[in-house]
Amino acid sequence: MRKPEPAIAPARVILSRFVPGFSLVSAAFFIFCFFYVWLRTEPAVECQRYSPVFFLRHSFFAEFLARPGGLAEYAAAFLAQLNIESWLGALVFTILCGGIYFLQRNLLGKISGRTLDFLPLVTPFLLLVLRSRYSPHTLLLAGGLILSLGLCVGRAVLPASPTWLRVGACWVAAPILFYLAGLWALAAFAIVCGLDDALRWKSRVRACFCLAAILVAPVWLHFSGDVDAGKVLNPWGAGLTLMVACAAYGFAPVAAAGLGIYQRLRQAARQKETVPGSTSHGRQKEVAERTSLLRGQMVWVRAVLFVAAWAIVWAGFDTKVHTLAQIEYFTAVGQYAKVPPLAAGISRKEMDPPTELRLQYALYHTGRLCEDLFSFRNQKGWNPLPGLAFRLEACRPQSHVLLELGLVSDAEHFAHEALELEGDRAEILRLLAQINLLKGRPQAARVFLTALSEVPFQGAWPKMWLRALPADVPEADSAKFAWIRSCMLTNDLPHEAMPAEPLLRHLLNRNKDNRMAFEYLMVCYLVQLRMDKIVEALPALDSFGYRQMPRHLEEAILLHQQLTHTQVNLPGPGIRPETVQRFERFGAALRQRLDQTEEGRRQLTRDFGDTFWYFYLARRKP
Amino acid sequence: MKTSRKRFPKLIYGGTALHLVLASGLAAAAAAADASGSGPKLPRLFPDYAGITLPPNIAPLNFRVEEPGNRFQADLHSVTGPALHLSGRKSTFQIPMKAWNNLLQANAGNPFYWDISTQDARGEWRRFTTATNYIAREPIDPYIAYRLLKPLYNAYMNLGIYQRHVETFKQRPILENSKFDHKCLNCHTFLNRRPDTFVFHTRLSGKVHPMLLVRSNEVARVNQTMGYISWHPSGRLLAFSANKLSMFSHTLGETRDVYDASSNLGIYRVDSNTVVFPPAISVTNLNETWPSWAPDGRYLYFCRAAPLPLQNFRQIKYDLVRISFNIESDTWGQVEMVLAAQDSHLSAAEPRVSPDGRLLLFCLSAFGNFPIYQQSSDLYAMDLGTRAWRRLEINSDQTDSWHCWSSNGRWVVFSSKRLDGLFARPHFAYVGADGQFHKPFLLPQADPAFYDTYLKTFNAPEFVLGPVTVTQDQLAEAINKPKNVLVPKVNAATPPPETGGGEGQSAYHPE
Repeated sequence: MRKPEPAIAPARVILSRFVPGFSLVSAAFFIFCFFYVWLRTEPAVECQRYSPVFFLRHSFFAEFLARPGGLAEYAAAFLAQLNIESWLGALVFTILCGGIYFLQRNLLGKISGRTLDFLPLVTPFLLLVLRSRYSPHTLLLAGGLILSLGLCVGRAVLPASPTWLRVGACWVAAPILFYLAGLWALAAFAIVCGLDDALRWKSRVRACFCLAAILVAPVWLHFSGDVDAGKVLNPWGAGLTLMVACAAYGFAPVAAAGLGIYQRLRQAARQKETVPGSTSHGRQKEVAERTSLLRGQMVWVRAVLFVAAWAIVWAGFDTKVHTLAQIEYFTAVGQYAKVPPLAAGISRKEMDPPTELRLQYALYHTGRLCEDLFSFRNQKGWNPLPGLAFRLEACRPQSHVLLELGLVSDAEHFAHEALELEGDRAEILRLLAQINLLKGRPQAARVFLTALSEVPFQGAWPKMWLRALPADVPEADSAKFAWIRSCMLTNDLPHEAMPAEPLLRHLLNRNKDNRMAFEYLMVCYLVQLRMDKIVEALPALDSFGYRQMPRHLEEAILLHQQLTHTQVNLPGPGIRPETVQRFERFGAALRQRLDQTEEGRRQLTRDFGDTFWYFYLARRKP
Repeated sequence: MKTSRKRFPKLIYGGTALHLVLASGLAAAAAAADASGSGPKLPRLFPDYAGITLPPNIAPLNFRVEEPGNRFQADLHSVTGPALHLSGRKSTFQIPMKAWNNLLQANAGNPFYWDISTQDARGEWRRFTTATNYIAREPIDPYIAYRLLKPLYNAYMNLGIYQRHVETFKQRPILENSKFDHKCLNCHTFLNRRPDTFVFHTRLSGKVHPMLLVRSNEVARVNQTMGYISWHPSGRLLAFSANKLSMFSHTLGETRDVYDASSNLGIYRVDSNTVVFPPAISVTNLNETWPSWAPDGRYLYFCRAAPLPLQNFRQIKYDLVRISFNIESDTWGQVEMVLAAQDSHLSAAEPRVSPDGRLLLFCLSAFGNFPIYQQSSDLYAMDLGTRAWRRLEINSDQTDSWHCWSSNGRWVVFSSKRLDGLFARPHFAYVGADGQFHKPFLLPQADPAFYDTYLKTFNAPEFVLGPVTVTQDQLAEAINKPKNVLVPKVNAATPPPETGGGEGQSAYHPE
């Protein structure tokens, strides 16, 4: 007799009606996953830092056709473009994880003959760990897994015979999969096919034939000539990405093998139990009770594992990279006020040259460059225009600074360094288009703009500019361009390296209203401990309309007066009384020789660590 | 736009009734335009393929009509054989290879007419003035080899030397630097344009930056740093420069510039694996560079200037000189002035003598010896019989440099930044029997929009008579795991100059 359905169907039943194959636990996972990626990892921030180059043109696509796995890379690069909106990036990732879950659940269900809700979540969890670490290979790994698992499921639904059909399907799919997704996907596919035949259909010969499909890879590489075998063998690099890739690709074969063997052992045990006379009604009841108890315990075990897995994902989140990426993102979108608080949270060890430049840039835009520069003691380079002194990774942020200052040729230099190192990123193409237009090369600007117009989601800006060319820039940017043009040097100053001070002085000679050049020059003098130069530059303060002299300049003047026993004629309202009082306290602290003891130095750091005096004390020559 | 060959098979070849009707209609439209006073004009094409002389074996000159219109038509025809008729809604034309080749080969030596028409929104056709090109009798060498790289400053990641079959659109890498840890490679130089014998320079991490020597497709690594290289036509010698180059920046105009603090010329004897620095071409108080052998091997042309400090870089102007050489007796003559900087008021670089020994092609720029970074760099030719020299009509207002003669002396290929002032693109020009240089044209690409977005520059295009068959793996192996390493013996009788001789190549590598 059919058991009557309950009046109100459980949520699980309702869910499975709409989304076949999904259980409550998996639904919870994917909801959490979406919000976690959207709100915690922030794909838009990730996109700014790591977005791979992608163009919507045939020649770009053709580059990927030349190598095995290239199409999966192409697809991953395209999907990464969707990270431009955090919610969209999170949705894409969640869908990929959902696809993997669904396929893996289906595959393992077929091999084991059981409905598995929890086990297939392992791979999505692994991908989530990778995403939390901002690995640039996450989407490629997910794409390869989907292709591999999809073909595994497709083959698993084939009938048990004839043999040629199952083996043939494997051998037909193998080169296609190798070409689409590379060696790892092929290997996982061939092993799962072999296991399926060996465990479910008990055909070792067929299993061997399936495993032999891996040979497609070496044969392909042998005949394909210029393919980089090393990259085919390991497209993941080293470290965590490689480990997770091993685990993610290895999970399906291992789980299939485990479940298959378990299934066979269970069947053998059942056969033993069903021998006539070996069981009784009481025994069956006992087994049923034990199974029920076990199920109840399993729910708790699953719950604990679920929470533990999320705890691992949460704890594994790369806070450092996230903060650096946020700083990069907020600087790029002009939300400068958000940068200093983030930068304050970075340790000195974690601070890198590009972030330092972005911090200084953001401080300038929030009017705090000469006010709060020394509040960020986690800086290491203390150089606003380092040239190539901070390695090449600082080129992109430096190019922005140089362009805004009016040093357009130097901005071009560093933008090209960045283009070579970081590839054809949209941000660099945009920068170079502006630079070439400012340098009177509209046709070169057109090349960069046309290239940029082929980047997904970046087309509106270059198209607007292309319409305005060759006459000038769009109305929206004309004021900015007019200002930069008014700041650009009109004389040639040939230079090696980056002579920041003379260049900034020439910028001020060219346009005395160039406040950015003035503040960056002041920073140069401050970090070089050249208070005399600051004193010399004080008359210019009035023309920039400062209501109050920036704090660090006040501090430098007070120290200069103290050291040279001179009195400086101050413009405007002069030095704030609180700065004078603080300087007196600093002097008193030094007279007490606080800098001679560990405890005293700690006190100095606490009380005066954000001042120019403290910086001077640490930097001055003995 | 795809070719209309498949969509309009009957329209491809001239002589069909429909074609005649259409042509007469277009002629009437053109006449009407004349009557209206606006007058027909030459169509704007990209690349500019109007008024050029093209070789009979060049790949189809695919192009784009840069005129407004809803439909576009192109009739390409010559004296004999069927015309090519192309039409469509897109303004780009991709010409079918086979029909193109047939047309060119049947009409070598004949004019080549391009009739372009556009249809406006009202459905009226506008016919432009016929663009008349010429198909030369003399073919061009079938391959060119060039380096592809982005506009570089200090860093380099991806660059390589490539060969392009100019009769088709096939490009294949000779060697990409991804094969050897993304290091630098440059200055590829072929012996008499032979694809099996050439050299190029690499820049690795160690102290010596070796040269790869390929002779009859046998690869050897020569542990000797060399700058600009030139093969003696006998194949027994290589003249090379040893330069101490460094980059500096300008705040106005072209950002990059290169300063050569010290340079000298040396000779690498390939058979004996020895290096000598003959005093005649390696003078201590002069900087010698850009060596180039005459095709008969009797003269070595090069450029030289007195060294000056960097701050006086605008005063550094190189003379163009030559020196006679007898390979049998291994004796050098006296250095002979070919073009003095004080006469030209410009600085000379990259001398190249035509295969018949009649013309000397070289660059002159405002100062320095790095023409590719000089907007003022132009190509000049000197009649070696009369020593008369002139600025060539093929120049643009942007950088023109890195030229090479074809084996028959009828074509030159050179890099020009004329399209945009930033990216160098290869251009070909026909050289008539009278020494006149015809209007140059851009290396054709399968997609006429190729150059619209291409962010790499074509560096040092060199003609080659056939495909380079030595493989990337063979070349990379000679760098990464060399089996055949030659360590040249530097002749003690002629010690390296003070510049450091073979170690002199700087970290800088020209476009």
